[in-house]
Formats: sequence, C-alpha cells, structure tokens
Amino acid sequence: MLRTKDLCKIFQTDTIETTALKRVNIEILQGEFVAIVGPSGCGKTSLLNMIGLLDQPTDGDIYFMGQEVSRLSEFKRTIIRKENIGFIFQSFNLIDELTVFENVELPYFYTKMAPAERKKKVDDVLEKLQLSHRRNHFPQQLSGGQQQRVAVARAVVSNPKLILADEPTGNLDSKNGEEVMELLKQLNQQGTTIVMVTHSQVHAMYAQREIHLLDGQVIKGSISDQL
Amino acid sequence: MLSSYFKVAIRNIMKTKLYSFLNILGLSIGLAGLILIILYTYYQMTYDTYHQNADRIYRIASKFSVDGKEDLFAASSFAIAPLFKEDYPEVEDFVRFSNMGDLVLKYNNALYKVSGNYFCEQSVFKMFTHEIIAGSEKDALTGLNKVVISESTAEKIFADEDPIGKNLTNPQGQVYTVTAVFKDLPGNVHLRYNALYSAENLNQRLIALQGPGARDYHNPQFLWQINDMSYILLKSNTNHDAFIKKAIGFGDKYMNEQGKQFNTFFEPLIQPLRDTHYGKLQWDSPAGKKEYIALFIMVGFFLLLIACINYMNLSTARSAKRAKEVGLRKVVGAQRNQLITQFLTESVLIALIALFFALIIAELVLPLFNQMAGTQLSLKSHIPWWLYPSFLILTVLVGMISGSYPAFFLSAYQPAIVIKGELTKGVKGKLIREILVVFQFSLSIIMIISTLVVLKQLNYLRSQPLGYQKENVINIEAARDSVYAQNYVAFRNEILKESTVKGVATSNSAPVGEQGKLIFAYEKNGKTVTVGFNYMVVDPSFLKLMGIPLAQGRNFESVDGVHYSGKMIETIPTEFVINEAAAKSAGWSNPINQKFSNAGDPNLGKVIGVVKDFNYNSLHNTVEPLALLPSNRVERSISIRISAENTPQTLAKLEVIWGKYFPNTPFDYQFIEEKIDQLYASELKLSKIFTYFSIMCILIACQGLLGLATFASQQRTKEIGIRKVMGSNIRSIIILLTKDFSKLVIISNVIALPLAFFLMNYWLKKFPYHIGIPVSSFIIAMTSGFVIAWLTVGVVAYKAASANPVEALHYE
Repeated sequence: MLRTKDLCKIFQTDTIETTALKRVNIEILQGEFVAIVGPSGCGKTSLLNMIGLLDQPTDGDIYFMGQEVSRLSEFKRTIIRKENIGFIFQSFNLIDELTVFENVELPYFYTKMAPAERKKKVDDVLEKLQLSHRRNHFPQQLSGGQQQRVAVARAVVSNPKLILADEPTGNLDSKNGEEVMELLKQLNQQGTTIVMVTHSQVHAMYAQREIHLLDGQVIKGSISDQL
Repeated sequence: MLSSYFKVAIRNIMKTKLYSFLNILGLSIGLAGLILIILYTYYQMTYDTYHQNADRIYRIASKFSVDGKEDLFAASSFAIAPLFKEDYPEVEDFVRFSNMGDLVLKYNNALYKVSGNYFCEQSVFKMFTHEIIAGSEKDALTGLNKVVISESTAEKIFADEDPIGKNLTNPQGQVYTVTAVFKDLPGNVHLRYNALYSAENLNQRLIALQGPGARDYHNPQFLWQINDMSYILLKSNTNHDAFIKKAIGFGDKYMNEQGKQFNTFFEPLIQPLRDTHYGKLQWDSPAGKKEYIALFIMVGFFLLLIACINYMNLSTARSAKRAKEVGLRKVVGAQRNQLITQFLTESVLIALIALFFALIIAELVLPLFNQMAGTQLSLKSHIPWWLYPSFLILTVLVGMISGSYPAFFLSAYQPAIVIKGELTKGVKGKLIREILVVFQFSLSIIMIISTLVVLKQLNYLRSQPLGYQKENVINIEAARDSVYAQNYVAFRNEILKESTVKGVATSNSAPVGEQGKLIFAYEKNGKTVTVGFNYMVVDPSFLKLMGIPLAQGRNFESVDGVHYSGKMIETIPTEFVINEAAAKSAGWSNPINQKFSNAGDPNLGKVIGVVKDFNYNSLHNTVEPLALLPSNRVERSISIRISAENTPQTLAKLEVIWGKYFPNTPFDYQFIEEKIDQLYASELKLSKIFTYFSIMCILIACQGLLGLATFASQQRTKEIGIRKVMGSNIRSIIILLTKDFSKLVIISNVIALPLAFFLMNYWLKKFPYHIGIPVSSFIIAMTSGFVIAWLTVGVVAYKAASANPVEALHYE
C-alpha cells in the first residue's frame, strides 16, 4: 500500500542543517497495524508527515498505492489525502470554534457530498464512538479522552484506507489511552491500515509490527515479515 | 459551505471581542468617512441641478476694469437682462432678483424675521424649479403686492393656518398677500430665498422716488449701476459657446464708449448656473471651492485605505491563533482557494457589520460635518436610490481588499509545521507594517502640530491691536424704514442719558468687515487720476466712538453730533477723511486740503483729515486705502459703546429704550468682537476640522500600533516566558517590548517635525500678521506621540508580560 525509497529529510535554518531522515526504506501493507517507535528526535513525526503527504522529502520517493506522490503539487496531494488518509494527533487538534459534530464533519466539508448523507455518516460515527450526546458541545467542554475520541471520529468518518496516528495517547491518562488503542484495534480489524507513532512500549504492542527509528535511520522492522 | 463559513466567522468575532471590536471600529470609521465623502461629493456635483433647466440657465455677472484693474461682481444692472432678450434671439426668457436681505415681517401683530427676501418676476417659475405645495404659481408674482414664501417660512409664521390669501406687512408698512408656498429649496442651490415679492412693487417705488424714467432699461446710464442678480434662459437648441462669445460684445455696444472717459470698461460675465456656486465674485452668495471636492475625496479614500491596511495588520497579527485551524483544514483536504474563500467571507462579513455602524456614525457626525462644510447633507433625503446599493458594493469590496492579505498569508501555512505548533516567524512583511505605523504616526504628529499652530495663530489674530477700541461696542442693523430715520435722534439722546452708555454713532455698514468701493478722483502732477478706494459713510461721532485717532487735520463738523454740518452737493460731500494707507497710495506727504472727490471731478472736494490706519477688515490683509464720507442723515448701522460692567443690565435697558422707539424691529445686536471673530470663521472652521482629523489620525495610528504590538508580543511569547523563568519582572519586560516601538515613534518624529515646520511656515506666510513657529507645539506633539504609543503598546506588553511563563513555554 505504501512504500518509501531512500527517503531523506533535511531541515535547514540559516546556518545549521539537521538531518531528520536518512535513506529510509519502509513498506506498509494493506490492512497492517504498524507502530513507529524510537526515542525523541529520531524522526518519527517527520516520517509520518511525509507518508501523510503533509510534508515533502528532501530526497527519495514515496509510493502510495503504486503511485509516486512526493513530488505532486500541493493541490493533487490534498486530493489524495482527502480521499485516502485520516489523521489523529497527540494534541487532538480540534478546531475550537466548531462543535463536535462540525469537527467530525470537517473531512466532508471539502467534498461534494449532500448534507443529508453527510449528516447521516457523521451521526453514525458519533453513535459508534458514543459521542452522540456531545454532538453540540465545543471541544473546550470535553475531557481529553473525549476530545481524542472526537479526533478519532474525524479521522475515520470518511472511511479512509489509511489512518496515521501521531502519539494518539500521548496526552491521555492510561485509562483513556487504553480506550483509544482499543478503538484503533477495532478499526484495524475492520480493514483499515494504521500507522502509529508512539513512545509507549505498551501501546506499541497493539501493533502487528514495530518499525524502530534511531537518528533518522530505520534500525529494525522496515519490511513486513510477510514479505 | 458559505453558511458554515459565516457560522465560523460569527463565532470568531464573538470569541475575540476586543480584537473584533477594534477591527470593526476601524473599518466603521473608514467607511463612515467614505459615506460622508460620497454624500458630500454628490451634493457638490449636483449643485443647482434641482432646477430642471439648470443646463440652459446662465447668470449675467459683471466685469469692470478701472485703470486696468479688474473687479468682478455677481450682480448686474436691472437693465441688462431685458436688453439681452431684445438683442439676442437665443434668449428665451429672463428673471431678476433684487436682494432685500433679512426682513422683519409682521403678521397678526407678531414679528417674524425672514432671511432671503427678493423682489422677483413671475418668470422665475418658468425658469427655476419650484415645488408648489399651496396656492398656485400661476400669476403668483404678477402685478402688485404678492409674495411667495417657502414651506419653512410658512410654518414659522402661520403654523397650522392656511397661508394662502393671508397678508404680511414689511417694515415700510407695505402689505403683501401670500399667493403660493414652495417646498424649501435644497441646500445645494446657489441662490437661496425664503420669500419672493412682486417686482412691480420695486418698480413703482423707484418710479415714485426717481421719476417715470427710473426703470427705463433703454437708458444706458442705468447699465453702470449694478444691483440685481440677473438670469437668462437660453432656447433649447442654442449653441452655448457661440452665444457667450457673442454676448461679450455687449459692453462695447452699449457702455464702453461712455466708460472710456473714466478709463472704466464693462464686460458681461455669462456664467452657467451650475458654475455660479464655484465663482469668486464680489457680492455673491457664499461660494464653494472645487479644490475642496478633490481634497475631500482624497482624504476619504486615504482614510479607508488606512483602515483596510489596519485590518490586514490586525488580522495577520492574530494569525498565530488561526494557524492551527488552517493546518487542520488543510490536513482534512481543504484546498488553498477554499481557505482563501473562507477568510474573505469573514472579512466581508466584518465589513458589512462595519457598514451598519458606519451608517450610524455618519448619521451622528452629519450635523457637525454640515456645520463645518456649510452643507445640508442628509442620509435620508436628496439621495438617489442607487447610492445605497453602491455603499453595499463598496463595502463588499473593502472587505475583500482588507481580507485579501490575511487570506493569502494564512492560507499559505504548511500544515506539517503549524500542526506541530511551530509558527512561521512572520518577519516577512514586518518592514511594511512598520513603515505603515511610522506613516500613521507621522501624520498624527503633523496633525497635532498643525492644530496647535492654527489655534495659536487664530488667538493671535483675535488679540491683535486693531487701531481702534473693539471692546464693549455693540452694533445693530436698523430697519430701512422711515420710523428709524425719524426716531434715531430721540433714541440716541435717551440712551446717552444712561451712565453705562459711553457713546453712539452711525455708519453705512458695520465698522468691521468687507467695505464697499467707490471711484475717487484726485490730482497728480496736474492730471486727474481715478482710483477705487474702500469707503465708509460715517456720522461725525464715529471716530471718537470707535477710538480711531487722527494723524493729521480734523474730523467732520457737526452741530448735534449726528448730522454733518458741512457743505454737500446733493448727496455728494465736499470734505473727506482718509486713512494713512490712502494718503500713501495717492503719494501725498501732506494730504490736508488735497483735491479729492467721488463725484468724478477732484475739484469738487478736499481732504480735511487723515486717520491712523486701523484694521477695519480682517488681518488676512494689510490695511487698504479707505475714505470716510460724512453723512447728513442717519445711517443704518448703529454702534453703541457701553461700560464694561453690568453688561446684561445695560443691554436689557437698551432693549427697553429700543422697543420704545422702534417697535417693529427686534433689538438684534452683535458685539464688534463677535463680528471680528466671524472674519476668522474659515480659520475657526479649519481649526475644528484639524482637531477632529487629528483625533481620527491618532485613533487610526493607535489601531495600527496595537496590531503591530500584538503581533510582536505573540512572536516573542517564548522569549518572554524564558526571560520570566530567568527572573525578569513584568516592568522590565514591558520596557523591553515598548523599546522597539519607541524607535518607530522617533523615526515618525524625524519625518513629521520638519514637514510640519514647512507646512505651517507656508500657511502662516499667507497672513501679513502672524506668529512665529511655536516651539511648544512641536514639543507637545512629540511628547503626545510618545505617550500615545507607550500607552497603546503598554497595554499589549502588560498582557504579554503578566502571562504565566509556563503557558508561554508549553506553547512551543
């Protein structure tokens, strides 16, 4: 489903060059649940942003469903993202000015789906994630666990083929963290591919495979055992 | 999608109340300015278009050249319009207005002061537009003793009664019957009147006074006497330019052969009705200046532009707060153009809210604006319907322009960066924003200095010694009636018995202000020279009353202090008192007994005295030559000197005595000092405009600075947090943040001070009597610049400095 070839990312300020990723080659299969682990600053989030088409590599290729995507225009990358990828962030990243319902609806906002159909889909997801009673609340009115559930709802509402989660449990207590992990597991069992960046050894255990990064290089688990 | 944009926009506006308030306020002021300017421009551009025939109506004004010096008058002879109609087939009709000024009319034993009274001909209804609301315009002024009045006059005098057929009595005791009432003329017609009287009454009166030939327009002698406002209506198919060219020959045809003897020539000035308001003629109704229109338009757009830029400034300053939203929307698939649409929607919405407040502001400011600009603008009447949708379109445009920069700026964020919480360090555009603030501050400082200088100069002008004692003198304009002439001496004698009345004198016009001109002749090197001098007709008490000292010679002689006892040839005196400027102009070192007269022949009179120069007009000019003519009848302008103490009691006493002798004229007095102030009305107006404009400039500059300071403090959140963790206190952080802005104010001062110096120097030089550039004004302006900037930035800095450093650092 997703493959990188010699992926490099160098951040440049006026005088200093920081290499975030060095010739990273990984492959993710359809239906897999992969955890990217490693110490702070090893390049986990950079890798996730790259495969989520939020950022462009300095060098190397990214193949998404067989197509090289890293050098596409922002416009085209946005379309691919919109149709295929859902995101979950550590800091939830909900829009404060939108209600729960509107936040979850957001991925549909930029599509041509009819409002009635849209509403039904959002309602279904909210129901599934037990958020229906909170649908008209604003993010500030929710607990951290609830906020992350909303973020998960937003990530899954459009049935993306791939969900990218960047430390989804990082801001949650253990109970809420477990809940979110259970949610991700269920989604994976229903067929969604999940790539998750995490610090937590416990939560990494939910994944079928761990990719270990150190200093911008993959040191373990770049390819599935199935290959 | 649009409704969702609106929803988010409204939530954003509600959430950040202060910021939204500032933005809406800024745009409201800008839009209100623009609305006023549009109203003003429309008003000025449509001057006199109320009259449907405006494009075919011309005013015949007069151009005299005496010894090569040109004098232009708005009035012309009563004889000229009928001769035009006879001579030029292009002229379809004509109408003449003979001004009577303000009159006190009597109805049912009550007195009513009415301004704008003219004798006028029936043809006025054919040529000019009047909306008749009572009576009929048919034969409304034909024949004798008819009057047509304006709606407001009718309301004033008759209240709920039907005015038609009612009688009004003028101060001379003549009775006029109201035949029609017209809707008040709009503010933007040049010739304004409240009552028009049968012209036939004027004709008859003059014939009774001067004999049967008094109104014979074929008598070329009358062409030299200019009294009336004459208008002609050209036939619809006329070539106007060709007609005007042809009409200029009128002077040569009828007058200039005769004028040659006095070295005086005439040429008719054919002015299109729509231009009369912008003329610079003597004896005209108050005129407008076309330059002002351009100036106002410039100021309006300038104001709006600054408001727009301030909006951009504040919005970008707040961009950090919106960055996350932008990033997220992009992550879930928003294209850049969709985000741009969203932000533009938001700014258009804010602009529309601002329009609502702008209309309220405009409505509130209009009375003040009208007072200053001398207009009668209104948001309710006299406005074509299409102006309202154009306000709306303009507002949407303003919203788009204001929103464009933040929209492009915000939508360009890279999602990967903003999601992480890092912000682009918005150095880009910082310079532009700083330049803008420097510009706004420079303008504010210039405005503050200008306001102070104008006020100082105005005070200086008002406190200058004028060469006469202006204090405690009241001036009353008496009615033109026989009662006045008969009762004046008795009135005078009675008030002089009062201990608080120091003196009384009469003159043909108030001793302060514009004076009339007469042609005088004197001898120089054996040749007769003619010259136009200002003149005043005064009684023998005048010089003493006003405290005007004689430099040489003597005053006019009199037996009773009222009437001149010297020799007169009909109405022409044989003795004259002139001022020093006149003596200098004639080149006399010893003016006494020099031959001098206004009867054409210098041998008919002589100079008997020279008064020291006194400023009978404003200090915009140096003292011009003046001749004083003695009067052997009582003149209409009465000046009374009273003691400085117990003024109200004295005035009350005077009013009682006045009522006894002149029951038909109200005791309508004015202090000479008030009259002097009126001479500086335009400077007073200017000082007011400057004051308001300064306040507006300061407000706008503060808004700009606030935007910049907010942005800067947000950018330095982390720095502030670290400094606080390291032990910095709030005060030192406020100083740190305000320091940068002090630099901008210093730069603004460096730009503004010399500019203000040159501007004010240039302005002051227009006055022959003026102050030096006051250093204090510069110091005040400079200081207020700093204080305003510190206060504005201080508020933002305090907020940033007192924030919890943990939050500031957590943010990174």
